[in-house]
Amino acid sequence: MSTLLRLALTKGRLESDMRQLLAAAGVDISPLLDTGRRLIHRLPDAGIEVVLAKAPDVITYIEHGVCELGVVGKDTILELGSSFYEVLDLGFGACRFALAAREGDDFFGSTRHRRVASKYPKVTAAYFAGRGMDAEIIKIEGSVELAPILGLADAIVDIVETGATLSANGLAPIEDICPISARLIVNVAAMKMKKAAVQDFVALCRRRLEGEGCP
Amino acid sequence: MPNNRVGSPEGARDRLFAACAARRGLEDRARALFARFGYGEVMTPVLERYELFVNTGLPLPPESMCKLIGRDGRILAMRPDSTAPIARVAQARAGALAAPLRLHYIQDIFRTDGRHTGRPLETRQAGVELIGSSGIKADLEILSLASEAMAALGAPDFRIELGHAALFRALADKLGATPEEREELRALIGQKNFAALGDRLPAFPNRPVGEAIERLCTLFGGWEVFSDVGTLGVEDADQGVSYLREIYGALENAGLGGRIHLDFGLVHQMEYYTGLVFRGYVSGVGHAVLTGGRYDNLMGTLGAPLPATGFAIDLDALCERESVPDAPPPDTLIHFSVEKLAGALRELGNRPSGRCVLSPCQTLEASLAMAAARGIKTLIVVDDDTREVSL
Repeated sequence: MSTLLRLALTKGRLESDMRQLLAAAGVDISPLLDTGRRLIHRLPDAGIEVVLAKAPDVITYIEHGVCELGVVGKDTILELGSSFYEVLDLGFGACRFALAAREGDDFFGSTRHRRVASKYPKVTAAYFAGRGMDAEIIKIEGSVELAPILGLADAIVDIVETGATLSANGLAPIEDICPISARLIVNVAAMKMKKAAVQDFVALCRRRLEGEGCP
Repeated sequence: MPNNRVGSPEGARDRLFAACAARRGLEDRARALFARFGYGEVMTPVLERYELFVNTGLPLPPESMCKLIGRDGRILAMRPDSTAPIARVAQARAGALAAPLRLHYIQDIFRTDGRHTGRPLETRQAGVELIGSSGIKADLEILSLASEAMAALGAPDFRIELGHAALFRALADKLGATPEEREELRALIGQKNFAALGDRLPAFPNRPVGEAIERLCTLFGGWEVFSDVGTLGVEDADQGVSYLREIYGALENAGLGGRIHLDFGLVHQMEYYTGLVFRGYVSGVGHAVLTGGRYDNLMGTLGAPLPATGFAIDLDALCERESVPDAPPPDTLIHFSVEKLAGALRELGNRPSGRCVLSPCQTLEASLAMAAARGIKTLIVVDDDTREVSL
């Protein structure tokens, strides 16, 4: 099977977690260890070329089909995703979306106009729509925790892992919205046109994930 | 100085020369093929009443339609799809046209979804609708035409995948899911999100049906999927599977087998389609370039119910794969005096198309300089006499 697939990998933590998964599955990942300035790295063992990219770009590459496979967080998928296959929950990068406010604030109890700051306006809008509640959403690019502290917003919707950043800033989670973890996504046309190669790679990842549970 | 430059709207594109020729070439081939199968050409207005697309159940978010207000104050939409307009025409002319109607169109659709996505605002589609026929022969006609169209449009490596709307619909009916849960499951199957389906389905009381749905979305490929699917345990769904088997067998018999695949988890636009659904792919394009299926409920939303089926092909996506060379530049320039225009036009008419142009220059020297600058090898001078100068 000589079909070469391109895997768009989210830079940073998911990159190292995925590297570990591939190494554990017996793939020689040395080309990924000393990446230098190159952006594309070939892993002949797994029949893939790895492209390192920012999370939103992973989705763009998969949607346009310039990469067949992608590893990206569910957070980015919920915010941006539309048409691709989401075939595997890779398990790593686990955290959750949560609504948080200043400690002691009764967010849902107030009848005042609610303002919510988030890096994820679509996720935030969907959450409040699901609760049948109006809220004004303000998009923030950096540290969202600042918004309630500065008085810009009554609450935030953000990714929470341990809650340590929240409590360090006098905030507390009010409600969990949904769990998040890394996903393996596949371009729709590639799933059909390169089915065998795609399924081989998915199986390689799945075997490793299922193997982890039993010693 | 003020900057008066006005660029093109986002998502729109200009086409020049070879790009025009490439698209016209594809259009001509599509038109010839559709005509050969007896599909007459229809052109519908770009602007339609907005309600046309809402009432016919076009599965498209309303915000992705380009809208404006008509002379009568009603909302108009630039057609985001051609099927509903064609259905409207078919209803309006039903008295004058004998069923089954075979119609084809080659026209633009307009969709606006999000900024800086790289998705087009305007897409040229070639499509057909077969209205007033149901049954396997109508479905086979449409699928054969779809395969021939993909081959004729320069996509010999194409693949068409088949699914059936009844599979998911019948199973979801038996599962005991609310409309919201049903839509959630449909989306998960559409994404082939095996993990989330595995988490979600055990929550429903009807386990055998839940397991059948889970199995469904893993089944895509060739003949083997028929043996892998076994029995789904819900009559309408099992009938859908055996219908697909019959269709697939007939296509394989006709020599189309290698190009046709099955996807039991094909659940896009499920409330729109009522029977066979299909999509076509080619290498080098990341999305389906052909979409189609049977939509027996659509005509009824506009008046008299009639079964119908059809497909649309994204010509612009296929254009990207065409390589049509740019026409060669002119090699002959005609310098003429104003009173000898007729002679100059005669010379122009006698030369190969596009290779000879009139010089706008006032003096012979200026025409010579222009010829030199453009690398033109022949100058024809039409004044007191007509002479040819090689440069």
